[in-house]
Amino acid sequence: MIGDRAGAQGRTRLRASEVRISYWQHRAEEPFVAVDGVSLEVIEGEFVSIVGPSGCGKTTFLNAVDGLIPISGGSLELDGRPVRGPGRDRAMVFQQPSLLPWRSVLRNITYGLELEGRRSRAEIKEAGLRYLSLVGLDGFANVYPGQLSGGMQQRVNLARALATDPEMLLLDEPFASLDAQTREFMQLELLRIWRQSRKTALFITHDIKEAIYLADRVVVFTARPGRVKEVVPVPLPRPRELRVKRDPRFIEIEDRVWNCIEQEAAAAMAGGRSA
Amino acid sequence: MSPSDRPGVGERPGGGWRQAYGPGALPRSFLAKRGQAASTVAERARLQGLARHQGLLVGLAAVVVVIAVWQLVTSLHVVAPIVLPGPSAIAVGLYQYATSPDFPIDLATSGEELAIGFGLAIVIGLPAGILMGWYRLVFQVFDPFVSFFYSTPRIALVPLLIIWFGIGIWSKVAVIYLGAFFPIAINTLVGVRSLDPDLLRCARSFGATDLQLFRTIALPGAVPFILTGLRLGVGHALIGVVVGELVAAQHGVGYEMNIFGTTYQMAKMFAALFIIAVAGAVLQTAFQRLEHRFDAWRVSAGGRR
Ligand SMILES: Nc1ncnc2c1ncn2[C@@H]1O[C@H](COP(=O)(O)OP(=O)(O)O)[C@@H](O)[C@H]1O
Ligand SMILES: [Mg+2]
Repeated sequence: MIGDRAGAQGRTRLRASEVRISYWQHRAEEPFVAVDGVSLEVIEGEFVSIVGPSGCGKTTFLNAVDGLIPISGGSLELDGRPVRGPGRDRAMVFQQPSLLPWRSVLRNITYGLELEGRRSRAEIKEAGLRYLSLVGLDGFANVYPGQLSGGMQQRVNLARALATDPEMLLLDEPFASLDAQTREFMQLELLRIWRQSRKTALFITHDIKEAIYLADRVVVFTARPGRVKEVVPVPLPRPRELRVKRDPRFIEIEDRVWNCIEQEAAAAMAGGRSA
Repeated sequence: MSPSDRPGVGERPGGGWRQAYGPGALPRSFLAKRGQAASTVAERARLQGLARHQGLLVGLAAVVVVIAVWQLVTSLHVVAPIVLPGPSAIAVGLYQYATSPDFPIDLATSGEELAIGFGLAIVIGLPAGILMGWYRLVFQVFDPFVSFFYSTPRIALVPLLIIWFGIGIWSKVAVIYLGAFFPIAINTLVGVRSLDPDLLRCARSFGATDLQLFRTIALPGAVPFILTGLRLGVGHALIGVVVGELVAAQHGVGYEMNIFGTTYQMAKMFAALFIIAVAGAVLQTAFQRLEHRFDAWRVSAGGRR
């Protein structure tokens, strides 16, 4: 059986073509080009992972999709409309939990909903409790983030993004700072939640196994300036258990991604030396 | 405590690209977790409680020793009472002053000056600090004046203020206000400006408006700074009371202290000084309590800061 979404012909949610993103540097004549020529399409309900060497522009690209930074070339469209700024159709799960330390867990989860200001207080609270439960943090509603472990903080971070009910989830290495066991558990949880909510997901990670385990397709970026080097489909059946990571087909895909990355890592190192 | 020992702030495992991808890369945060488990919350609370009590006991013992030595020195006439009256003489002086008809008037006058001056400093200093912290233009307009007045010794203005406002309570109110305004306004300004970039990005990602950004990120983030400003401000306000009344006044504890001093009633002078010191200690403690209350989430975030 083929992965149930890999070949799905849904609507195109995100269309990036030849996206170029540059930073204006202080006192520099030339802008610093972080991403140059990224072309990528993401279908509705699809889970896409992005991997690539550190500093290749993954976060930059994701920030542009979220509308936090502008692009300086190419085009970036969501549902056929160019991205102009942050919007309710997207929500970001940041690499750092970025929780408001003076708000309780529940009020962190409802933060996005409160900013929207469309629903009553009672409705917001009810939604908050629902997502609290979804990420397995029942009973932690009135605890402050500082009292939680890293893994729990990341679950709050995830719940906060889910609570606004976005069509697209943007995740920037959300599990990178977690220990190995917690990370695997969070991967399992994320897949469970994603299956239930059927959201489109764009997931950045450092970890090749994680990228493959979660995704319908793995996008490998080149060294900076980032471009899409290769797109590797993951035709593994879902729902996936953690066991699948030892499946020969999984390992074959892993080898393929690993080879791509090794070339780029070498290029990045060479670039670093000459720079 | 290093940052990585705190729960949830563990950094990504170090090392290069290759190492992070390699099979044997052991996340450092995993190791950090274990050291942290050794000091449980209960354990930490118990140790903190013990330390607090110990501090109190040591402090009390030191005070008793100093008073005893002081009493001994004066009883043996090592120093003349006119230079340094003993604790027992000061106690008598305190009793005499506290039962004199002037005392309630002095207390009411100084208290009123302090309340109005410090109250005005809060009512004007807080919004001023917020506006200067939030709006660049407001900051640019007022910065030269604030910098100028903040770096001038404002005590030097006391004679001028007395000419302007007379020797009644309003010259003292002005001195106190000028003393307390700057620490409050400047701390508030710095607090509002010190936005956590991660939180800022998060708020923007959720589509926060400028006003929402202010209300949900800037203002709560500024609370510890504001409370510190208030605590510093109350200290300056108290100095203002004494200095203002020393120069010219009709009533007040500071005024009376000056009279006692110039008429060689040293025990009473020390008694007045004692009253002022106690007022200062009480106010400082009250504001410290307030700071701890507002910092509940911070204290619980794994250790003291
Ligand atoms: N705000 C910024 N200003 C200037 N350069 C930046 C900024 N943010 C990132 N960069 C640079 O852009 C490149 C890509 O960064 P980033 O997108 O964070 O990479 P990744 O997430 O893939 O590790 C890096 O070389 C980084 O130094
Ligand atoms: Mg990044």
